[in-house]
Amino acid sequence: MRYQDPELIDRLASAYVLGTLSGPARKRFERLALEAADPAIAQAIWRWERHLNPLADNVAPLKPRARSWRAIRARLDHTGERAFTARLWLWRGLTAAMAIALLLTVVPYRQPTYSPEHLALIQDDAEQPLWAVVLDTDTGILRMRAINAPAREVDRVFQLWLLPATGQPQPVALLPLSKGVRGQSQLSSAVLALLANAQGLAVSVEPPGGSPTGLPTGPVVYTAPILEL
Amino acid sequence: MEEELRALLSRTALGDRDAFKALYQATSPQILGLLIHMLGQRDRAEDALQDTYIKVWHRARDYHAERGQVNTWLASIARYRALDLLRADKTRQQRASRAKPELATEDELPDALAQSQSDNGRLYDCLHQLNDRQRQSIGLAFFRGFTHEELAAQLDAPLGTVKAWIRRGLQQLRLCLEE
Repeated sequence: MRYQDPELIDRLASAYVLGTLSGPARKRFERLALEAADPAIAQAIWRWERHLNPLADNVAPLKPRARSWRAIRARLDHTGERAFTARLWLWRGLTAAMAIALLLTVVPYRQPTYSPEHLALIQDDAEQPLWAVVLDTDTGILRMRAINAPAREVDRVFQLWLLPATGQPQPVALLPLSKGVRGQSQLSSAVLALLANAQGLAVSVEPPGGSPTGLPTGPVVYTAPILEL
Repeated sequence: MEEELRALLSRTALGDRDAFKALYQATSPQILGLLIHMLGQRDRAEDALQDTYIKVWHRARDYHAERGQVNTWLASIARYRALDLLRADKTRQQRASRAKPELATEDELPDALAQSQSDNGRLYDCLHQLNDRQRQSIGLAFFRGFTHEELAAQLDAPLGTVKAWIRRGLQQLRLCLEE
């Protein structure tokens, strides 16, 4: 597959967002974008979403039936009260973390040349390195490289999670699948805020596109501590 | 408005259900309007709306500025869901390949294509620089979720011609928008 050509990526991304890219070609393109092996594909999709999808702002609005909200609420309840309770704890922990982060950011003194980085090396049971992960805390950009990615399974991806001090794992990124391939991901401020006291990272096996629920659905196959540089 | 929506979405990402409900109340009428255009029936649109917001709840923390404004991100999720449903609907595909459905004219498409709106002035200006066929085929693909084959049947044009209208139309649109 040749997806190096920016013109081709742009054309496929535009057809993907509009919806005229269909069938196996759509699935293939979607998978490439989600694997995060090359952020250029996801970025091209986002660009076209920004270009085209504001068109939706101008359709005539229609208030949904009350039972649609009730159905959504019931489905959330069904997917786990436990998750909700855990999130409450997470919220409390995070409020404190954010208060601290806020205090830190209003302090005017900053060392301009030094950008704190976090590093993790994910190893297999024989202590062979599988992935190297580096996070620039200032920008929130996480860079990943597959050193010796484990045997690739059809229709399975490896998802990276942050294990906060308390509460549930937070999805971080999908790891690149082929040896030598680099990936990049932008961490949300919510995940970054949890980093300081995190217990480490974990890798789970998930369906293509990552966990559909926001929590690990497959087995956790590797864990790694986070080191500060 | 945008700042409020972003705040609601951040709180949703942290599991705050009140914020999620407020986000739903503020944004769902627009999303339902879009889904009815794409799916045709109220019941199907309401079902797709539920799927959309379940996804919003689980994926709220994935939102970032590169996805556009909050409304744009919600519309992206809703459109992908509607497209999946349309493509899975075999009867519709067969109908489209068998016979030419009743002609949808540009008049039936939302005012979005017909008039300039203050918020998205640039997008409308750029759309109106396209020729009628390009604008119509992009509009039908966007608001009706038509495939190339359905467009060819609808617009009574060869498949290759329709593909070229869309491709060149999108290229021109990008050049205009990124000028």
